[in-house]
Amino acid sequence: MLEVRGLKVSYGGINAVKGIDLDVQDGELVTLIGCNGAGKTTTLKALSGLIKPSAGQVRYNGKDITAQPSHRLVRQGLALVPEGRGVFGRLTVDENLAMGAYSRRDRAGIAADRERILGWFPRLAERRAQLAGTLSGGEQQMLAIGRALMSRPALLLLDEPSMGLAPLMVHKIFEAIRAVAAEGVTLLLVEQNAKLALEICHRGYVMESGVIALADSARALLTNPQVRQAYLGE
Amino acid sequence: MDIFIQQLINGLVLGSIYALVALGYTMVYGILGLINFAHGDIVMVGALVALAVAQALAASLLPVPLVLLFATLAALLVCVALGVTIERVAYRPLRRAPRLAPLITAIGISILLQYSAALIWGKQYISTPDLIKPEAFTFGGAQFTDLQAFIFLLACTLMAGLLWFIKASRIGRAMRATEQNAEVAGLMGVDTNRIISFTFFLGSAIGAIAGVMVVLYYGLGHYFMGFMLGLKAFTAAVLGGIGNVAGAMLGGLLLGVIESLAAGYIGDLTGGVLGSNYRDIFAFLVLILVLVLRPSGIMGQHTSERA
Repeated sequence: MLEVRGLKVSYGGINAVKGIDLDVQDGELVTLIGCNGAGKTTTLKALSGLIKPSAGQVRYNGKDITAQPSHRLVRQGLALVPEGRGVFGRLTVDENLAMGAYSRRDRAGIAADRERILGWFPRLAERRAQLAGTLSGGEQQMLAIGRALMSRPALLLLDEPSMGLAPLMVHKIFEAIRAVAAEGVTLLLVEQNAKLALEICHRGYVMESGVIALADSARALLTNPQVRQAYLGE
Repeated sequence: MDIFIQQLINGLVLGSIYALVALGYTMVYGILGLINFAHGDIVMVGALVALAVAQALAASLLPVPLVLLFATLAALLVCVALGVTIERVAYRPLRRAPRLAPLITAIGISILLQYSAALIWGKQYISTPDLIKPEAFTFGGAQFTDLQAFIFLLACTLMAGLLWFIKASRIGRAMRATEQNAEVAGLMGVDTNRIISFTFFLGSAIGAIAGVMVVLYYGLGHYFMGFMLGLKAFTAAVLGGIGNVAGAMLGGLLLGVIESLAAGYIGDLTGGVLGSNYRDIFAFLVLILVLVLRPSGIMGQHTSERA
């Protein structure tokens, strides 16, 4: 579904991503783990059209999408939940969800999806008329995920969904991510919480200072002594 | 008391025109963080185009409402084309430049428009052909004309329509989303460049109608008329809270009323030393006071510098 070859990204004179290869198959849950500053967020930004790669190719469903602007990618089913959530603080919860469906025109389908998504996140359903800026961090993360789902993505890129959240909320968010995957959405998940990410994903890539250091099944990575020492805190 | 009601009526009519022009400033500021100093001159071009068309058609046997309609349509067309083109050609290439660059460009465009207009229409005052003869009505010891009522009601209708559009329509929602976070709006599928173009389209269209109102109201047009009008509308936008659409409307009406009331009483207050021709002082007094006392304006959010 997604093939990345030799992707390089640099900005401000820094080579943040130094030529990586990465694949995500249809229906897969893949995680990209690594330390702060390893280039994970930059990679996702390049894949979703927010920054232009300096070299390499990104193919999505066989089509070259390198450097396509993000507003076109979402129409082809590729959505990103950005780092830090990026909810529209002065729009209501409902309006945020409506923005998620901006690329769609089927009113009935949009309304049905909204109810389905609010069903998954009852906290949001209670706050639909509230401004998103007044929600807690966890609620905003739910909204950011729900909003991305409103575009009916085939491939969802998630950037640090657990960042800054209390453990209980992290648990809830990961439950939601699992539910999304169960619906058949393919996921590429960037996480600092490597243990959680590897537990729900099929495969994982370990990124270190701009390159892929390791690529293996999630189970293998979970038992890999190097990974255990560096990322699982053992 | 008669003066009070009279100046209140005059102020509301004048203020509704300020409000329409202020919308163009505030919407562009909201989405780009740019003070589009050329906006007043776009309004001027609309006014002069409408005048030219009205003059050309005045001799024809067309009924007056049709002449006015054609004049307004011509103004709309020219202003919208100008506004969208200016954004595309002059501001978009500077989107990532330091803030001062597009600001200086805007001032340059303003001067370009003024002297282009002077070349086309000359530097003298141009008077409106005698198409309409406003009929006066009396109300509580004060007078108002049907033209004043028409301008005020049309302006209010346009403002209500705009508020509804921004609140309830799909594009209006996308405008608000782009204003808050353009990058994320792009992730939602919003072509933010098109939304920005559309914002200029909308501001220029409303400005064109304001321009037609000005020439109908004062019966005069001039290549430099956009300067003072623009500054006052900008003041109105700041007074209401720049970037805030409802604020621009409120600021416009308020500024019109303040200016008219002050002009009505200035003679009495200064013992006849200053006459009502000093009325322009008040707009700028208001601007200075707002900037000193409450820079965020009446309805502006107390936000720090936008990310």
